Amino acid sequence: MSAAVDTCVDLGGIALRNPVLTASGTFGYGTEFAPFLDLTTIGGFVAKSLTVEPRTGNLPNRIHETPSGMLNAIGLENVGVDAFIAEKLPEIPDGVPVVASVFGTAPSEYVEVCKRLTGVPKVAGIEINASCPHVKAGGIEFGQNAELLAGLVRECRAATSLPLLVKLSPNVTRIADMARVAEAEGADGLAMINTLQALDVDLATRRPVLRNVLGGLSGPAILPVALRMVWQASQSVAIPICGIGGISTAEDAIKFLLCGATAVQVGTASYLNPMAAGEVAAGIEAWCAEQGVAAVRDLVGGLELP
Amino acid sequence: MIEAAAAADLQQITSLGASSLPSAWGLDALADAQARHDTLLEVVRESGEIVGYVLARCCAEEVEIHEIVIAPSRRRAGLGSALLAHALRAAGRAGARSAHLEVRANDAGALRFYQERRFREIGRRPRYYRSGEDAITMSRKLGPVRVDAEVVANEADGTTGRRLRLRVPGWPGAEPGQFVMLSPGPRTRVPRTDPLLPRPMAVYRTLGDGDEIEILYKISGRGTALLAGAGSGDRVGVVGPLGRGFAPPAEGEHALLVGGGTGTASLLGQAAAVASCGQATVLLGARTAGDLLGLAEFRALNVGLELATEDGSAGHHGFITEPLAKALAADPGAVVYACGPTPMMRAAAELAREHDARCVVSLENPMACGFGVCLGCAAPLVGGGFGLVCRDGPVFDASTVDWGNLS
Repeated sequence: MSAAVDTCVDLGGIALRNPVLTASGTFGYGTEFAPFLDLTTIGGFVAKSLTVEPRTGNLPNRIHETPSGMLNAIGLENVGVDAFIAEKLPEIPDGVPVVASVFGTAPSEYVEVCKRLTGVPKVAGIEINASCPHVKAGGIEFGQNAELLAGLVRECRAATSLPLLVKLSPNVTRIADMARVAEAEGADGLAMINTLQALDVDLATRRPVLRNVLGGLSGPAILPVALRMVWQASQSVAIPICGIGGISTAEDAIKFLLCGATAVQVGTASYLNPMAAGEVAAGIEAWCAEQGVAAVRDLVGGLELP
Repeated sequence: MIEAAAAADLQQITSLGASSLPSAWGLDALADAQARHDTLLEVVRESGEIVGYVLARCCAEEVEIHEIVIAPSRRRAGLGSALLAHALRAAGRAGARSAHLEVRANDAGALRFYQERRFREIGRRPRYYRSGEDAITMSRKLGPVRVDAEVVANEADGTTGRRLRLRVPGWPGAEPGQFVMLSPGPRTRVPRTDPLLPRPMAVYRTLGDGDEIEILYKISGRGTALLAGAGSGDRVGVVGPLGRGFAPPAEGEHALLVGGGTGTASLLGQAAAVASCGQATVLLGARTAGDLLGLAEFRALNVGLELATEDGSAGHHGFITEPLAKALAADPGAVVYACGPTPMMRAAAELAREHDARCVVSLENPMACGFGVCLGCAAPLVGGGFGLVCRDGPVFDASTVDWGNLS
């Protein structure tokens, strides 16, 4: 090993000791991982999406395994923003940046959650989960319509002084357009991608495998799609991107950095291996040392085109 | 409900302690301890009255359980068990990897209480107490662990089931009914992505020096087919032990333990626990005689054994719930424990309800993580809301489960 690798990155104003976070919905509220993972060895984590009121989620079946991936339709079950602040945050060790994921069925709900999180110690930033059906607009996801997304980001931006990441839905025709909209409305960074909308069928019953019919596809199966979208977005905006989609290893994460991501989130892999995010962080550092890369941020956008 | 003690509670706690322990902490010591952030002082309150408390202190990776006291009128109701479990969970979250305590050498009840909860005797301190009595020091590891376990053996056992014996470094021991998540097949140099998810499997029994576990399984899909290909020396990813197992049986308990298919594997530990302090009858059902798992181990216990097969090739010709109905009619005060296919557990729960018997089930919903984050295994509960099979279960009181919506 050569000289120590500088692993620090700045994700839109969130200072991270290394570029590996964990993805919302795959890491609970952080406390569940205490037996397995020292949270101070990762860059930080994104908590499960929070709503104004607690939500109980969908009836089973909620998950289903697919080739190199899984479908889920959990229904955004969460304890609500107030219980998160009062009961979950105090359990998180100091020095671990917590990004709070925010969610609602109308912009006013997002705004309320953003306001309640602003100024709370340990909350280092907010991630807007735009893959949520807008109830008044007929259930289309905020992230699937440029005007809806613009309005949502504008209102959240006005509601908080915290660094604001917008998590983009991949279920769109041109991801770069959505990235530009978020940037124009004041987002400090992008997180992408959320799950791909998907369906699977149980032949024995001829029914969808999930009670919710549609679910979100995650896991290694979506990695190449996510890489493509991160690369396209990074060509279109100046704000930093946090890459998400099927990352299980340091090699996977480095691909995202080369495609323009400043940091990454490990998601489904934490289910298989609760130490995955720590191993990815250590693996990136080791890879850089081996390759003579002085700082992890030097890799960002380093894709060599033919 | 267990909650943190308030300053105003200290007087009541001191009195409760002094009435039960000859050397309980005094008011000043308790007040000092409570002010420290490494000390856990939690109480159970009933109608405003404190009826039990636990006092513990975390130090680096260890937690020392100083006192667990329950008011005499509220003993034998599971409060001590709940307080201990609560303290160990809190300590685990705070980073503790092992728990330690001292017990009076002559206090057989307390020794047994801790032994049943996986504490092992590690030493003796002569004349430790003011009375001159010796102290037994006990400790246990706090789970769960995530390791690559080594395959010791993995073979068909003459039934349609297979036995996988794993050496799990640092295995902290499991309570009856707890489970592990196993990687689908042996671990490969480049992580396997298909099939992707680990499989929940009951810990059948602990072997070796306590660091080996045995899993009973059947080849039922791609994951278990790959697992069947793991040979001696191969590595299998293990996360566990996970979940809340069966509560220790009451002294003199009569129990009917009903197993179907691989669900049978969840019941061996509890059958042994009941047999040691009460009376157990084990009822095992399967499609055909060759599908009956674990017969040798159940036969070796001091339990009654009844079998049923759908083709009549062994025991009763039909479903196991038919012998269960007869057994319940003969002993309606028995506790029913059930693990197997959902229709079997639903039928067992219904029979127990008809006889006013308590029924405890171990659910087997699909799950991706096993430790409370994927939320895939949510089981609908009566009155709305969900319980996570991995974290709140897999063991549930059958009367709390919303069987109509269980999937």
